[in-house]
Amino acid sequence: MRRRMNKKSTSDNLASRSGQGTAYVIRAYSWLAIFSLGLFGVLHIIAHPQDAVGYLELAGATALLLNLAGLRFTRRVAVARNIFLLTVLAFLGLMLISGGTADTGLLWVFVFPVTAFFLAGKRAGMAWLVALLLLILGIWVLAATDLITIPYSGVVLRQLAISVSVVTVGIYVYQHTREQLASESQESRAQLRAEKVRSDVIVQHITEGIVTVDAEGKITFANPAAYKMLGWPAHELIGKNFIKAIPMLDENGREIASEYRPMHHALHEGESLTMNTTYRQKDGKPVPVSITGTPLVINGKIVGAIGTFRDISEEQDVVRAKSEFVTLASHQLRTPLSAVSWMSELLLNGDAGPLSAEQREHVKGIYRSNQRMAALVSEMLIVSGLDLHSLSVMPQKTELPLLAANVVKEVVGAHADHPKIKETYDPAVPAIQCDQEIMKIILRNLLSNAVKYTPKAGEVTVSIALSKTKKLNPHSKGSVVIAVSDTGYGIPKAATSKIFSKFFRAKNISHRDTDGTGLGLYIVKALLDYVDGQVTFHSEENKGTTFTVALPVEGMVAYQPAELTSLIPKGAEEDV
Amino acid sequence: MTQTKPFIVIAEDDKAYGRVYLNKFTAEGFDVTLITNGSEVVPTLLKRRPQLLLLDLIMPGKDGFGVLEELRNTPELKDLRVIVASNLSQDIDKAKVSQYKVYDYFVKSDVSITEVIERVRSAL
Repeated sequence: MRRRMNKKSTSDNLASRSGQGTAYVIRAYSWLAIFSLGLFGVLHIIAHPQDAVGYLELAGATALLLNLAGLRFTRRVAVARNIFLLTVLAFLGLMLISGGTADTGLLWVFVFPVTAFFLAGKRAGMAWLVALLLLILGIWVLAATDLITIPYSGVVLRQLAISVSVVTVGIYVYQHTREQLASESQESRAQLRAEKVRSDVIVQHITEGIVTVDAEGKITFANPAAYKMLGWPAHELIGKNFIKAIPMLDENGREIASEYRPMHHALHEGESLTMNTTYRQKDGKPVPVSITGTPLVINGKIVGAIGTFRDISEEQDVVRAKSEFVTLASHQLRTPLSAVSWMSELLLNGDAGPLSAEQREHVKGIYRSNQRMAALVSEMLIVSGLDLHSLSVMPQKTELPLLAANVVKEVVGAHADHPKIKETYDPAVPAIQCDQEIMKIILRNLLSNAVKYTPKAGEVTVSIALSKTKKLNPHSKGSVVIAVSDTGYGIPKAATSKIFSKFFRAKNISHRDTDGTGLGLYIVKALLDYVDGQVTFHSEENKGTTFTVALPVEGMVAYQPAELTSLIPKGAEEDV
Repeated sequence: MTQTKPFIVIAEDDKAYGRVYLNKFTAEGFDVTLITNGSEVVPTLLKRRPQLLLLDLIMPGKDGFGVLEELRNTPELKDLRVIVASNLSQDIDKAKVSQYKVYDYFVKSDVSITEVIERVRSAL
């Protein structure tokens, strides 16, 4: 209902605005006519007081004055227009009959087509011009039949009629083109208006906060979602410097320097940047958001930036809940597992007295199965740490050959029937910054796979070399390349696309070794993705496989997951 | 002879672990006091003054983080050697523990009991 009313009032408004335009023209023309009729009337009366023309002109001026008064009080524009045009027409007739000053009365006739078209529009203007031609014709007939005497000959009147017609056609064509252009531009204006209304509605109702700033970083626009999320009243935000007015906090609640903020990045680097962070609202309340700052570039120049952001409180709650579940589950699962492990160890060590050979075998069975379960829990925890982004990366200067040699020893110790293992380490490999725990997990998985899936008579080779040509990112100066190759069973062609998937095990090995979880290679790949490294492989069934791991020589970048505030009430933890 | 026995306090609420610890450490010639409630750890330490505390993280009464906090705020105990033995292995937990200057941290399911003895011995 309200919308309809709005629309109606808008169209009324438009109509009255166009009426106001015509009324203005009527007033302007009327005053012109009143002035000239008044002036010429007075001059006429002074020159020829016995002549009726002067008095008629004054009467005409008076009629126009009355018409103006009528327009003012009744506001009937169409009536005022018709009276005006009729009056002008009558005086043109008078001019033609009297000849005006020095017989120049006929010149005034040319004023009429312009006035009529201007005031009445194309169609009605045409009717008024027909009326003018009829008037000329009428005067000519009256003069030809000697009923009246006029200062012009028939030829002059005929030529006048023809030239008025030519002028009329010219004006008609002009007016027609003008109206068409006007209607086209009105249409495109209406389209633009509709487009603007649509985009306004979207921007006003979208749940994402949108803020635009100018090249100096001053807020030029903010939508209601932005006001709500930032906790500022609309009128106070506009014109403020966004970065100064809305502080951004890191995970420890400290303010983030402006040069690290997405809007700054967009304005100064011309690149968009997304960040999960926290804004401090006007009243000091923190609100976790994901914000993207995008530069506004016009003709290659950064003229401002757009910030879009959304509240991520709920997403954070989910991550927090998941992470807490993993913590509790890992504790709950591991507690009985390691208790079983330690107790079987006590039995095997003879701490509870000597065991018979058969008892010993059974306890060994318990111990081994338990170790498998513990390993699976550890793998699941790494997987969930990767999924939740809660695994930290703590790089330290590492001699990779030393680390690899240790892992080789460890794997050899765990597999009694291992094939021969060859190690070739390039002395040119520099010590690089890497998280040793992550590197050990990667190498342990690759090596134990190679050892498990290569017959005892085969060979496993571990090599580490420096490659200056292999660059994992445009800023890198090269890579350290670790290759683990074997002469084992290989990976079947059909399986090559799936070997890095969670829980996938190739057919040719799943019957040889039933212990595998299918998580090893997934973890290797996911860990390398996590630290911006790379893993590739080449394999031929029954010939062997080579896994190649590459790390940038610049090493890994440190990452510390933010500590999330607990959702579980303190007391609940104590019961576990 | 008894005086040369290394003396340690173990805070561990799980009965199975407690039994293994007592059994193994005693067999290895340690003098051991076992506490099963977190809130009793600091009072016991103040009374008994061991050479080392082997601390679990999730316990009733007061959790291991709370015990560490209390220890570091108790002048007599702030330099006591602590080894944390937990089944919490997430980096967040490790980072939390590392704030308290502990001597060692291990995940119980990652080590054998023999290794636990070795780690404790090397810390003494």
